[in-house]
Amino acid sequence: MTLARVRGTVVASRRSDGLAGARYLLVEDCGPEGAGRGDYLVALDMVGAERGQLVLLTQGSSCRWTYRTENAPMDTLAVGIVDAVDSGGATLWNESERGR
Amino acid sequence: MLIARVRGTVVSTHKSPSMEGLRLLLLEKIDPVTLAGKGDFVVAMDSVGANAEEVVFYVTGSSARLTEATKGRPTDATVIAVVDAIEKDGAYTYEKARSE
Repeated sequence: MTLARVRGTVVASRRSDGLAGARYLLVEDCGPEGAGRGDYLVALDMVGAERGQLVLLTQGSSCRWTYRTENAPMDTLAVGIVDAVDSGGATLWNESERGR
Repeated sequence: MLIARVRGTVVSTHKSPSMEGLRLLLLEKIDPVTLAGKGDFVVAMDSVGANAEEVVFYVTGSSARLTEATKGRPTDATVIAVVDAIEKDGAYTYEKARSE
């Protein structure tokens, strides 16, 4: 899994994913401190993530291992909202302090 | 999933029988914020009837085989959605209705 920031949403009505009520997020690949790298992806929102939040992204065939996406043509899912990232005793990300 | 613009079609007559009957689209990856082309092209199967210059997103890998149109086909990239709008930080970077 990788870390990404939610930057916005992508709206599409003509789709072949077979998923009713799907919400797609525009996410930016980022480092563990939440700094964006300028690379964007479209991810299916599984957790109700909001703009600015750090999310866990799953990519590839593993994306089909949820009840909702079983046998769906999905390769990028936002599967979790990150509360905190710690490394070597330092807090790199803390959702409750996100005002940045 | 990645965002791209349909730049054209790819035609192949001499091909594997399992490839028959499907449109192949020439996609150029774009930056979803500036909409600028990245000069990076990919050929994808079409499962939504995407037209030239439309903004789409596509899946790669084994997920590309999981639309009704591409079931059992030897594809590793399939367009699954025609994008209506891209929103970043509360503002639209792309609106299909306005681009036409």
